[in-house]
Amino acid sequence: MPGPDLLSSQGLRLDGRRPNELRRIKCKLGVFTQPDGSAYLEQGNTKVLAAVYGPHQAAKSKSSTDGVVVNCQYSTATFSTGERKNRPRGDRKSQEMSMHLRQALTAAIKTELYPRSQIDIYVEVLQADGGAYCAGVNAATLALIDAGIPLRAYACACSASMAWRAGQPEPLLDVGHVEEAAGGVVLTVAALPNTGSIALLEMSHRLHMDYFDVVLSRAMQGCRDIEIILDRAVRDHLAEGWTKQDIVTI
Amino acid sequence: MAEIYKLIHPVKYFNDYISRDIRPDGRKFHEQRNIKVNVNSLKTAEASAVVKCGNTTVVCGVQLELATPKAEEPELGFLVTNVELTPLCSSKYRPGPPSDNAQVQSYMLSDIFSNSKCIDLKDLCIVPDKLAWVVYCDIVCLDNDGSLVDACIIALMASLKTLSLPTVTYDPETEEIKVDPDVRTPLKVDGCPVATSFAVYKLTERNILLTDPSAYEEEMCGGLGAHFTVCLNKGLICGNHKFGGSHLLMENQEEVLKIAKERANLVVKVIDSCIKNEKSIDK
Amino acid sequence: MGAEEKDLRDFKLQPMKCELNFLSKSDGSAILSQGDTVALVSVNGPLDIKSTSQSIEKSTLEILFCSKGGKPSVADRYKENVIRQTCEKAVLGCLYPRTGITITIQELEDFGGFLSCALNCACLALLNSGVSLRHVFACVTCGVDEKGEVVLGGRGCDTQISCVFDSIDKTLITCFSEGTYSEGTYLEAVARCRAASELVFAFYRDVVSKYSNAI
Repeated sequence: MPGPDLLSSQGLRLDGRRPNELRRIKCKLGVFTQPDGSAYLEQGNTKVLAAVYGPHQAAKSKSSTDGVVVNCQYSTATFSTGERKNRPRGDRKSQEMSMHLRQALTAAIKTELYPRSQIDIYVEVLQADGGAYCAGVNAATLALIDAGIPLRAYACACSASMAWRAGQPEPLLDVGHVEEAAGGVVLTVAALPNTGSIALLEMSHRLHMDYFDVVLSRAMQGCRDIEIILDRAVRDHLAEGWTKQDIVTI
Repeated sequence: MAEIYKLIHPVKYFNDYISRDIRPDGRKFHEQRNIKVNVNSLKTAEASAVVKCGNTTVVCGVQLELATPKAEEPELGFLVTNVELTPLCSSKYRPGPPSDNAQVQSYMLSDIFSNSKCIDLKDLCIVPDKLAWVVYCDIVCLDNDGSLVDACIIALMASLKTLSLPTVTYDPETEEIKVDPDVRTPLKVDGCPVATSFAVYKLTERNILLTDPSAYEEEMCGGLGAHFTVCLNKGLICGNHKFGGSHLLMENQEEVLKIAKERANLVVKVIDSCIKNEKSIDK
Repeated sequence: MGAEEKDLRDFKLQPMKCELNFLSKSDGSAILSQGDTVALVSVNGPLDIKSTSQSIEKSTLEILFCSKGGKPSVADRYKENVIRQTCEKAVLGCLYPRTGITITIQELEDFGGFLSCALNCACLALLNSGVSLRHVFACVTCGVDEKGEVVLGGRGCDTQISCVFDSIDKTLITCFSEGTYSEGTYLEAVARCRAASELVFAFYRDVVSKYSNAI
């Protein structure tokens, strides 16, 4: 069952990457002054911003004595896609993404440290070119670190797809928009690579059981790679001496 | 120490600065914050601009759609502006439907823009009564640190000045529409409205005008929505909004107009040089 | 002074008619017509409000603008903001901490200059409700005709400038405009509005004295 033609005969992908290659990630912590923590992240052409407010006193109805309530909002700017989006948030897709974001990040945050409190995480997608959710998770992790909120481990997200080359299955790392649109399978993993645990796993389309492990391990590898990149960004940021005023030009 | 003092005596803290003729962030009363403009940074939008005035950051993205003109105005196209104050930009905004303040800002922006008449909506019409462009200008605020309308107008104008419309051919018989995105005509923009905000602070006997106030200064001068904005387009006033806040004397008005005029010239220069730079890089 | 007096005589504000305490259930109300434009305003308060919108320093003003069509729009929010900011300056809110004052504006007829009529009506309703005020305020609209001359009232003009002045120093509280105009026109318009605000204050005095005699 040959899937859509995602690999050239030389084994290169539509945008010229190798199957196990991530898109270029550029990130910066502490980009804004108003939130307690913020980060900007570019993954290829996907550009996202994340801001964190808190921990602060939780609304009465939400308050929990067990741990902090993580409140996420994922929104995509109306101009982020080629076709204008009418609702930047509140539609089913955004709500689902907000929920997924919450699940992935709650797993990473040491929630038990702040009972009766709330952390607000806002993610804004400025330009979407595939893998906006993954970029959102990565940006939110950086923003949480910038806000000084204790984490168990880095939460990293990465997607993987599946292609065929000379009859052999070849998983693709970090799926771009064109590859997503081509209709192949997309497996999204949010993981805490440090602990080896998976926080969220989501897959669209059909994939044979036999190949699932290959694709999953490729995605996990991607998460580990991203963790290294994020870690370096955090260290660089701290070495710079967190100049909050210094702001990235997008 | 200063932070604690600011929390305990917010008014006195502010007064201490103002009475020594300086603002808490070190600016003089009429000193403006640096303006940074970057055009065409978003590839998914037809035209875009990122503007930073001090810490206030806004992104404007312009997208095009085709539509049928309204029956009562068959020769006019559409230009829709919208300002979004996401909870990202300040802890004052909560998730949910747009706040009152966001709606007011949105209305003010479109009001200033339509009053300035810098875009003739007739230029957006392709075939009267049949086909016209809808230009959606969505402005997202990423960081709100005061004088938001000023930044929004700069972002809007910078992106509109770089916008070019694809050629459209319309066959009246088959009603077939052909869009050629490679042959483009730039949109005609007449002038460039520039807004300048002021906060009026009442210091015992004198009223003090602060040009380009930050969010903190706005709060000290009457809170959300109380400000004074003057918009100039080619030397003509195209919007003059003052809502509440401290009272303004007649002699202050001329001072305000003079500052607004200087700033208008400066901002136009900033936008033009930014677009010129961008074009030279493209080549 | 001669010139100013002459100006005052030349000024013809649209005929204003007002009835105070028009509604029986609200704490204060007024119906005001300026020409054919009619606004009805009711004031309730100071009342207990929900704790999230309470302020420990002053009373919270809640403005509700009901347009004739009934459908809320972005333009209504803008008008609410103009009225809120103006009233906030006038009401001595620090006397009523942790309370709310609700001002409801109902549009009855709009033949131009509604916002200016609504502001004046809100001021009269506040007077009627007995809420303590720092000062009263008057809104006057000027238009600019085709020849570029400033005319008071300015009904039908594309360019309109409206100003709100306080009754003590006659300083500018609120200002909003439509259309484009030059700097000189603006300053002239503000000066003429300022002179004409005197007429509005005289009208307020007239209305209130008649009303208090009737009681």
